[in-house]
Amino acid sequence: MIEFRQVGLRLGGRRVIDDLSLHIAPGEFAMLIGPSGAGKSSLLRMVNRLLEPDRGQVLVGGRPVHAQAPEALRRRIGYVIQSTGLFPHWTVAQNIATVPQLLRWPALRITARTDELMALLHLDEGLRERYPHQLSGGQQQRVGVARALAADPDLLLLDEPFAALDPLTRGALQVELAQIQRASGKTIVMVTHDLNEALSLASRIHLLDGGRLLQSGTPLELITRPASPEVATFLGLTRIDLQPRGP
Amino acid sequence: MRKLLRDPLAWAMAALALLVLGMAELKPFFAALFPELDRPLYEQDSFAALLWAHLAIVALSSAAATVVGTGLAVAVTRPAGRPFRRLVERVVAVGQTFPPVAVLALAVPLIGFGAAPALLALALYGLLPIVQATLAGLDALAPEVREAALGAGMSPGQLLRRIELPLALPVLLAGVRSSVVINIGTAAIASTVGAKTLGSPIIIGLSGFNTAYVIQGALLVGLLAITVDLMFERLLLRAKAWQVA
Repeated sequence: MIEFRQVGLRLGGRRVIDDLSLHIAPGEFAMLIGPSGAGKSSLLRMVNRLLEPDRGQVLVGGRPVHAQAPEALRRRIGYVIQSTGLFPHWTVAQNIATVPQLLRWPALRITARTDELMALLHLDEGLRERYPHQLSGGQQQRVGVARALAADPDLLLLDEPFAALDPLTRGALQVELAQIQRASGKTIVMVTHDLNEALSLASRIHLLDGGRLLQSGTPLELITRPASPEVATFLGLTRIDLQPRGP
Repeated sequence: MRKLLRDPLAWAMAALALLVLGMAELKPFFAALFPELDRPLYEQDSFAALLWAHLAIVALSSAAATVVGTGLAVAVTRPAGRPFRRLVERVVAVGQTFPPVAVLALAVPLIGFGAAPALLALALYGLLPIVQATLAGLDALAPEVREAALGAGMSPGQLLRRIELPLALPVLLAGVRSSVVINIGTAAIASTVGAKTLGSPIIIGLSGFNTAYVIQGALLVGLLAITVDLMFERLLLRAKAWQVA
């Protein structure tokens, strides 16, 4: 579904991504994890061309993204960011309908789809005509996810979507996202710095640091076979000292 | 009805209409106030005609200033126009430091007497608050909102029309409001170059030592400014209805 081929990216004179290659298969729940400044968000933003690599290639659906019109590409990819980026002057329903509106769906289809998504994300029908500032943080991010899902994209990019939420809300939304992913078979790429989130949701984890890929693998592989001491340190594995226990 | 009675806009409009249509009835009053004047009431034109002419000049010049001002501000916030931003801001700010009388005096030899130099001077003069307000409004866009709009697949034009301008509208309108109110006052001065406005009684009164004329003109200009200002207040409330919903 997504392929990074020897991608390099410089931002403001700083090398953010360094010769990185990475493959994400269709239907995968891929988690990009690493410390702040590891280049996770930059990597994500190159998928929908909000950033352009200065070396290498990014491919989505087998085609290089630079050969696809950015607007058309982005309308096929759901995008959720931490601060939600909801449009403050639009109601919940209008926010959810952003991409269908851009795609000029007929009004009836948009209404039906909005209803469907509000139900899917447990947004009360009474919130339809509310404005984002009238919602709780959790509700706002539910709207953010609903907006990303609106045009039923095969690919969903999430940039620390739940980082600003309280643990209870975060847990509920994580579960719902996992259910949506299982039910729909969508490919999800999510950035997080929360190891628990990565371990519990991901089908594959890609651990980054300093713009490089340290290791890719299933959560189990990462924990049982860390590729390097850095990976082990990040996963907190070196802290476990097993004392030899004699009889 | 009760709501109407407590509405300052309704009062201002009523006072303006009464004064414009009923100034003649006040002739004995002005005569008593200024017994030394032969003609205590301005009668060269009807006040309704003056008000109309005044409104027309303000509306035309302010409309031009709004279109050009927002256009300039939008242009210099696009990638292609960004290098010109400082220049535009500076030129517009310097333009504001010219006294309007000087602009009028310079315009007359170029385009002659009458409404044309007044329109030009007022349009130029009204530009600054609008450019500044539009820039401030566009600058205030939260980066994550822009990011989300682009990420959803909006083109630059759609971003501008659906997100940037609507969100900047309250600030933009506040700029248009001060521009228009300033223009209402400045348009009175335009009578010096022969444009017929509510300033005509003021200018004629000042040169002819007729204080009654000055008062009659000034009262109406002031009331008009207040009325229009209150109208903009109403408009502003509607533009940001979503903020208080």
